[in-house]
Amino acid sequence: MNNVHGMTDTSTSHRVWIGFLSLLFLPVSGDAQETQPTPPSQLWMCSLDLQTGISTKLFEFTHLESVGSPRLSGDGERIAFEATLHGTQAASDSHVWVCNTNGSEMRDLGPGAMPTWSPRGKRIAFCKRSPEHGVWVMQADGSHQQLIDEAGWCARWSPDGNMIAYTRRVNEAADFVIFNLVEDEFFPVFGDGRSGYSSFYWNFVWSPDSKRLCFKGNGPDSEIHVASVAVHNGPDVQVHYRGDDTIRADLAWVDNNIVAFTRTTGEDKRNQLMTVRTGVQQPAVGNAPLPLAGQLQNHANRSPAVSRDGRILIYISRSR
Amino acid sequence: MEATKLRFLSECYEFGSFNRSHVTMSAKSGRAPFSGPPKGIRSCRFCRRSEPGCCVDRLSTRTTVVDNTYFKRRRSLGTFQRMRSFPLILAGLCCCLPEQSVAAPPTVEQVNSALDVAVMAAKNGLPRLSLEALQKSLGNGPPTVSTVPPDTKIVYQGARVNTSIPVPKPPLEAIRDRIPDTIFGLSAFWKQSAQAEDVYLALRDVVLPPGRRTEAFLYSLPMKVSRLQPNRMPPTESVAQALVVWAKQADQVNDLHRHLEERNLKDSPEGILLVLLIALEVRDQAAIDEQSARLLQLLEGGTNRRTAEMVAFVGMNFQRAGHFPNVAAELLHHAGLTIAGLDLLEPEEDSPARAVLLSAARSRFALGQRAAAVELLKQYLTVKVEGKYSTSSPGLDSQKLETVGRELYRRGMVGAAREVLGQVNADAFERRYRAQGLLGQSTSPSIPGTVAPSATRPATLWAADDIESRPAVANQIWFCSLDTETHISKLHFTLPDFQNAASLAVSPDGSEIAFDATFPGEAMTSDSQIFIAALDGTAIRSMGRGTMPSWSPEGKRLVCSRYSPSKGVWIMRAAGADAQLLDESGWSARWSPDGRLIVYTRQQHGRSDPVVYDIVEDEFFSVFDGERNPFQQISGNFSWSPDSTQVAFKATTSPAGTNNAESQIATAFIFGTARPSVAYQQQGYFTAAVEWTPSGRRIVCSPDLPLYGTERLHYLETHRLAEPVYIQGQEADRRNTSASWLPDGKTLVYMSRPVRK
Repeated sequence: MNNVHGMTDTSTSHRVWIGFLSLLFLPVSGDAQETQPTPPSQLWMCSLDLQTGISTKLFEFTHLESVGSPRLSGDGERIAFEATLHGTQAASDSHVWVCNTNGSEMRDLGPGAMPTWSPRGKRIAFCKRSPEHGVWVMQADGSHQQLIDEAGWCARWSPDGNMIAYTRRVNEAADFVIFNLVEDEFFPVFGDGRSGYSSFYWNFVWSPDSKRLCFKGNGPDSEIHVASVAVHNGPDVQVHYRGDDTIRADLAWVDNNIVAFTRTTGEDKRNQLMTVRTGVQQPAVGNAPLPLAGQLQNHANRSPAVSRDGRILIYISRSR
Repeated sequence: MEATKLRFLSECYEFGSFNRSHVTMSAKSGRAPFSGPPKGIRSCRFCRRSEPGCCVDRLSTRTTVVDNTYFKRRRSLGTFQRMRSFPLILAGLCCCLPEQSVAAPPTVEQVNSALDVAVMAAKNGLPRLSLEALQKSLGNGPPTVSTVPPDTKIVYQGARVNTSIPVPKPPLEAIRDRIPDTIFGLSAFWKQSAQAEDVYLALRDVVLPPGRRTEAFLYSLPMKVSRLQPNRMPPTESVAQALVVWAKQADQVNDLHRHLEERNLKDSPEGILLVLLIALEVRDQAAIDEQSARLLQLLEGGTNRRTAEMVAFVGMNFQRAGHFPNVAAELLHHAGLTIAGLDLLEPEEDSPARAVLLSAARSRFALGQRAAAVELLKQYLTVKVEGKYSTSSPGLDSQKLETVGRELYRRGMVGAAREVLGQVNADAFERRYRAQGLLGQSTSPSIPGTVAPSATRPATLWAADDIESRPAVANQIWFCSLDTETHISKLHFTLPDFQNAASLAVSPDGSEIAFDATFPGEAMTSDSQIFIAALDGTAIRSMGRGTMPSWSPEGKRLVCSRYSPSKGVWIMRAAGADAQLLDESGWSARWSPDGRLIVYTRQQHGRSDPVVYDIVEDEFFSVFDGERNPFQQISGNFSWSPDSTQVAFKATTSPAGTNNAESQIATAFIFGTARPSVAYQQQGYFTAAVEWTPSGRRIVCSPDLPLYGTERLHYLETHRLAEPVYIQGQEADRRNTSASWLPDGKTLVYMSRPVRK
């Protein structure tokens, strides 16, 4: 007997059997899944091609934890980051590590955090916790360490190589201090407690032209700002985004107009890379942060850093 | 797949020394890839016998002879998936390594293969395999035999011998550097993924090989000083030190002690050094005293260079640890004397003798042992240095004299300085340094007859507005500016007090001029001072002794050359404070426009070599690398191109002192391998000062052309050899030199002097 669709009863029974059989091959759930252990999440170093918007996994961190602050060397061949050895060091005892971009030749350079490369990759500036607290510079192999400022924290080498910026309290107020290596002099960006911020967070970033610093700061009324300030010719502060403590401190200047940062989003408090435009003075509708296109989906992504040529963004990603 | 089969496959596939021997194998299915009678000479790779029924028959049941070339061509192994079986291959390779029961040491090739295995295993995350490869290959000590013919290769390029490519090291020498290099490189991997005890056990078998129960091998990297910093102790490492560190980490120091005692190495330098390293690590004062005394006894009895360098290295470790200064001083002292003595017999390029002796002398000074320190400085002066072109040169000797003189005079040891340097050299030194008070508090009375130039003579200048007539100041040095667009020259001020002046440099903001000058009766260069004058002629101040000043990009600092307080290139604040010696062997420095680089000359092996210091990266490098330097002498007064990529300079291709030598103005790229370009050449002398135009297309110089009878300002093309072009508007009938641009990019400031009579 044909039904209205021109199909016989026998085809219906075939479909039932096909459907029944297909159920056997569906991914099992429930009791069957309980027999398979949930794979542990993996921690990856990833790179995002900013032109194609495609992310690739560079390597996996198998023996390290508390990994953060990755930075690409000027030639794009090596990555410096901070981490602790799994099970052997406390999170506060981070070390500076360097490796090739494929994860090979990973080397521990000793205690330290938040490394930043010189332009040609021969030296690294970083900071240490007590008892040797301060901003330091060393050769890229970890030798010849020199203290720059024992009261400083979180150094960032400018793209042109002539300056190292770091945070420090100047006249009882949060400030950025610029160390000019060529002229061998230090100067505060704000000075005299004029920053208006109670604190500046770590992992701020230089603009590609070495003229501005973009940072996360605690502004008035404990409001969190993503803002930038001119280094020379008077502190010219531009606030790009006002948010809350879901914004993490890791920032990256993607191009002349866009800054990326990490934000904890969603009910599952997952880290995501967000972008905001820097061309506007006041954040308003239209400058809300947008997710960075091309980052790995269903992963917790954080700690962005951009290569010197502005084509690659590396970040740390944890699989769910 | 049976391990045996894998063993054969691995050996054919990986070791690759495909001689004409044949290896038998068992095919997986029993059928060989192809069969046939053996070709060529057949010998077994295991027992090296050339007869049937040796190891082969014992190891396989069904045998078929194949040609090794099969494996060369066919990289795949049939159904044997390479990637999946890679760990098995590595395991098989380890089976092929020399067993510890074999008494003979391995060959160089075997150790090289083992090191390759260790590195491969590390890259594939196999720490135990990596350690085992080292353990097994070096379990009988380091290699002593190479199967490669001893003749080193000469590299041909086309029809000529290419001498720019270094001749490869002999295999034995190369492997002795490769072993510690590989181990240090793998240490980072082991820290992450290996157990400390496993690493300790492997390194223990490397340093104290089970097959050589009465010996120890420290595997230290050779100590090579940087040619640019011959007085700086080079970094070096040894596998023995790594062993001690791992022993401490694995809590196996006692075990290491026990192994050392079992070997009865008390009388060998290696054993004593090893015990010393352990004692330093655990801060055992008694053991340090005992072992260091025994080591010094051994040194006095004579030893080889590597051991002496190792002693120096241990001495530096003690010095840096800061806990045992006496021990550090003793070790450095004797190591330095030993290395210097070996250099006398057989000079070695880049020998650390000078650095070790200087460190030893400073250690003695620090302990107040002045007599011993002076003896070391005397030895320092006699050190024979092996160079590419000669074993000594006037420049090299003067460097050593300067170094020793500086060490003694700054400690006020004038009498000792006279004894060590000799009368003539001491007089010259004192003349240069007395004005700066370098001679210290115990200065001896000056010798009658010497002339002490005054450093406090006041300098004045006459502003142009105060000059009534130019003829009245015709014999003085003029500072003028020339607008290169309107060709109008303007007098700013004159220097009535000075005999000579040169090296004019306008400050970045255009408000001041730095230059060097001498008063009448003073010697040019050694007695010259650096002055900074306001461009409008309202003020002048002295920066002290020095010559050839050059501003940093923001005008906060100056780089210059000085004889005192120590000869060399110095950096200081524009106010004169915080002077730092950059290079004691450098001269005539110039700061790049972008501020990152400082170029200067350095005398090496009888030639001038331009050297660049990268301030940001804190590294020095030579512009010309050995063969690429076509010049014998490079005069100072460099000029940078506006983009900081090239330098212009005056040079000669003739040795110093050659009469009427041809001089050239040349340009060279700082980075890259391009040869320098010549923009101008002239027989005879002319002022060395050159200045790149802001556009980057031309250079200003002052050739002495017959048309004018004296030096006048001219333009040169940078990209081709062409006739110089006279710059219109400059002061007529005067000798015009030493130009520098104002920030407007069109006004040239220059010095104008009366024509030489």
